[in-house]
Amino acid sequence: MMKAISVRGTVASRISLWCAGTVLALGGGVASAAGVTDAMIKNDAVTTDQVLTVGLGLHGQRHSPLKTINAGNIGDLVPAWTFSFGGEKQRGQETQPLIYDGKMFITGSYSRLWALDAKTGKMLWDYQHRLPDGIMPCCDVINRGAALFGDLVIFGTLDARLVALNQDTGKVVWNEKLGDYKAGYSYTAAPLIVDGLVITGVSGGEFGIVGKVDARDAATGKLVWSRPTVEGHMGTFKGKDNGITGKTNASWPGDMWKYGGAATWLGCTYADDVGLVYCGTGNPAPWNAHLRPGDNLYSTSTVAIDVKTGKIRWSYQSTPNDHWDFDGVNEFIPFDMDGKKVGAKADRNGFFYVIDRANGKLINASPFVTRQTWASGVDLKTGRPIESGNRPGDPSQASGEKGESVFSAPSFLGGKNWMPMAYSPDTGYFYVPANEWGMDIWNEPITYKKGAAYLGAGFNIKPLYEDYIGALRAIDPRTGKIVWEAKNDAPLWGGVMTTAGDLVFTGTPEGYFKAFDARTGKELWKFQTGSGVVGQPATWEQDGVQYIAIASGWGGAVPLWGGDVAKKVKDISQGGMMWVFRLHESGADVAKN
Amino acid sequence: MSLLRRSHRLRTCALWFALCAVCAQTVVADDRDDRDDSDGSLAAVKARGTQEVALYDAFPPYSYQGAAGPAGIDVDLGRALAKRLGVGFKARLFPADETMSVDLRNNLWKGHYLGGGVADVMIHVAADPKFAAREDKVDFFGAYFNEAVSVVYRPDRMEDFESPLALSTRKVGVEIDSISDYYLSGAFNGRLRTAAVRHGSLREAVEAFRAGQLDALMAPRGELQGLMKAMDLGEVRFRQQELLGLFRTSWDIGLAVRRAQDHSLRQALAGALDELRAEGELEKIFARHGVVYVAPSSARAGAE
Repeated sequence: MMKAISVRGTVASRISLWCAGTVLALGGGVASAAGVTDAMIKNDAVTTDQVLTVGLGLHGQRHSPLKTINAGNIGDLVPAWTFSFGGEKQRGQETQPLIYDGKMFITGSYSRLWALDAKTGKMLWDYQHRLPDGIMPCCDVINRGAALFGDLVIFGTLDARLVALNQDTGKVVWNEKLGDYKAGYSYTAAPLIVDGLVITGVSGGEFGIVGKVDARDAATGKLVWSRPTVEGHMGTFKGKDNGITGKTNASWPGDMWKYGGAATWLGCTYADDVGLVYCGTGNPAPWNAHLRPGDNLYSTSTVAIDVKTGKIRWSYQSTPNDHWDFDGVNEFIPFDMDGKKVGAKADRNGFFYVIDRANGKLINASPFVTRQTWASGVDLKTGRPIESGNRPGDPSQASGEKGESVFSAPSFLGGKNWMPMAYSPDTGYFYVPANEWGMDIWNEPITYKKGAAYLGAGFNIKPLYEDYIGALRAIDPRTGKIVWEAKNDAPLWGGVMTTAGDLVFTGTPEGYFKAFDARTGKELWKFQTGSGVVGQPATWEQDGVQYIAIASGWGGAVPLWGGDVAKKVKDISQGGMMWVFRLHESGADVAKN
Repeated sequence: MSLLRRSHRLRTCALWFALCAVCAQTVVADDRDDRDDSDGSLAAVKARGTQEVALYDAFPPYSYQGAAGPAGIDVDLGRALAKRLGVGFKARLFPADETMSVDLRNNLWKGHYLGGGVADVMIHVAADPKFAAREDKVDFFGAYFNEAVSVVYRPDRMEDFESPLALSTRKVGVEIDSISDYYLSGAFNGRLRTAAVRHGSLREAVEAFRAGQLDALMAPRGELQGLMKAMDLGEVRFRQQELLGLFRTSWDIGLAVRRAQDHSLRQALAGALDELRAEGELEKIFARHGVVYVAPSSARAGAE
């Protein structure tokens, strides 16, 4: 159990340090920033002197127009400063830094947040959320970043709170409940801000939770609309009923929809030209698909919600009646293809989808992994997968001690997991951090849960190839063809970023932060950060210098769930560090700064 | 000691900066007592003077957080065992994770990645040789009870029945994602699927039953008996029979310790449990919580 109050002297010391830091900030009389506006957020993708959104823009393309750093000079990329997240607890650091008004805002494991001087790395203040007993984060104690609005920095916590802090002081301005942590709710994704609304999903792998997307007034935290992502549940708009999601019992038997899962745990993207928020949903519950005949809407889907009304405009389900734990949470990235307004998603199930972002019509679906046992393709007319009959058997029909085992690829950790891909409008390619692994999955009649007999599943994740699991792949969305790939021994678990310098950046569990040629895939540069990289890169320009930042700190779901694969990564050191790079300049130049 | 030091530092902090009101609120809660002093022996427990017992939280009538601290059958059993060993008792109530294997890992042999170390013994684990064969870090012993899926129904709403299919047109409350939920969802090719009314906890199901919203309840017998006593249900009938159409509907429960070279703790606990059983104390503990004691099937098989 998590202890509510620490009894170690080291933490007491940290309290004092923290107090000192706060007082310095207050005493310094820092002027309040002009404030982050909706217009600035909508312009973030093309603005270079700040980073206001996780995903480098509301589309989440993770592309920067900066090209000071490019293929010609990247050999001169060197550390500018580093910052240690400190504390005894480290684990996975999946954050992306935000940059505004000379400050860097970063979130860390255990629901922590820091404000640093973006140029020097000096800590301005920190916020360490008090976590109660009995939180049940599904997969490590990570956080994937914050959001900025006005003079606030907003982030979600492992006990399912949304906390808004003053950017200058770190003081709590508002603190709202996203869900009941005792019922298994949690929060790890970065919030999205559109038109003064802070939009969040909800995390929680435990049985009994129901996914939803909430929109709150970003200034006050007050709920504006809420849209459940399982059919049969009533949505709300300003406290009033706003229509049921879908049609009750259309795709769920009995009252199972009441607890249907479909957690929106990876957050959302947005396209202003159609006014839609795109949120992915997780697997349906319970895990055994034989118990819930039907498509189980809107699990394993992308739902497009009208930001003004809180109603679902369209949805696309990638894995109907999911039986492999293929969460459909992955980011839907709006982009323009041959003049068409579309969006792309690389799903856990191994397919790369291109979908009309206005109406949800499927345009193209192609595999981005080498092996898919569960489906041979996707019917472009109906939008449905062509299944290959590779479902695990029904455990409630089992008469033996172990049900039939099937080998399934991808594994439940997915052809791609949470780690976001990036798009480059210059090359027209998507850069997908893919993993090549499968799983044995079988029914396990001899299982127990909460003191009682239970019918469970057994699984073991296995690499498909001896020499690699991870593969960064450049995919042409027009054809679905893989243009190039860069293999990696361990599974990839970090985000990707592209720049107008024709560079692609990502990190590896082996600790390297790497840059590739966006057109050829040639590895141009790498740097050992000291721990596994599962963070998301960002870049900005300050005083004429382009900076590139990445968090280092190994963790996430692989060491917890990875089966045979976990052995591959068991010797990786933990950490917790922000690394910031810039082009080398001579000692004389540095002295002038 | 360190507690005192901490409060002192906090006070200092507050004195220094009266305006630092949020200071105490932001004390990070990430530290846990990562105890590693135990080699799993009786001597280590005695040297510490307290035995820490892992128990499911929110699991009445076995173990739950009562008004005056941890309460329930398993809490009383843990306390009685510690007393026989001549050591203090400390309950470690934890929320159930996805499976018992995870609970054993987080609470008995490896510890949760959030920190907090492990307990000395866990109560209410499966006493099942096939399950035990897969758990190579844990020693299972001391089967003390048999639990079985059973049905309670309102005699004013439905007649006695032979086949569980009689439930197909009824409203049957179950705890979500439990063996009973699986039974109704999966048995007889799903013919009972729409009879299930799923609740977040069995307590909620019993409340709905009491309020007249359900015809019947399906749950493990001991859990039902305990809740019915605690919630003072009126006239209901209990039906316990071999429920067909599912692989397994009854199971034994017992104790577990972390596997160690030294078996002294396990032996001492097994001896203490035998004494409690022989002296009738075990049965009394169950009776106190409204549960009819049923000996584990392994013991009954041995006696026959």
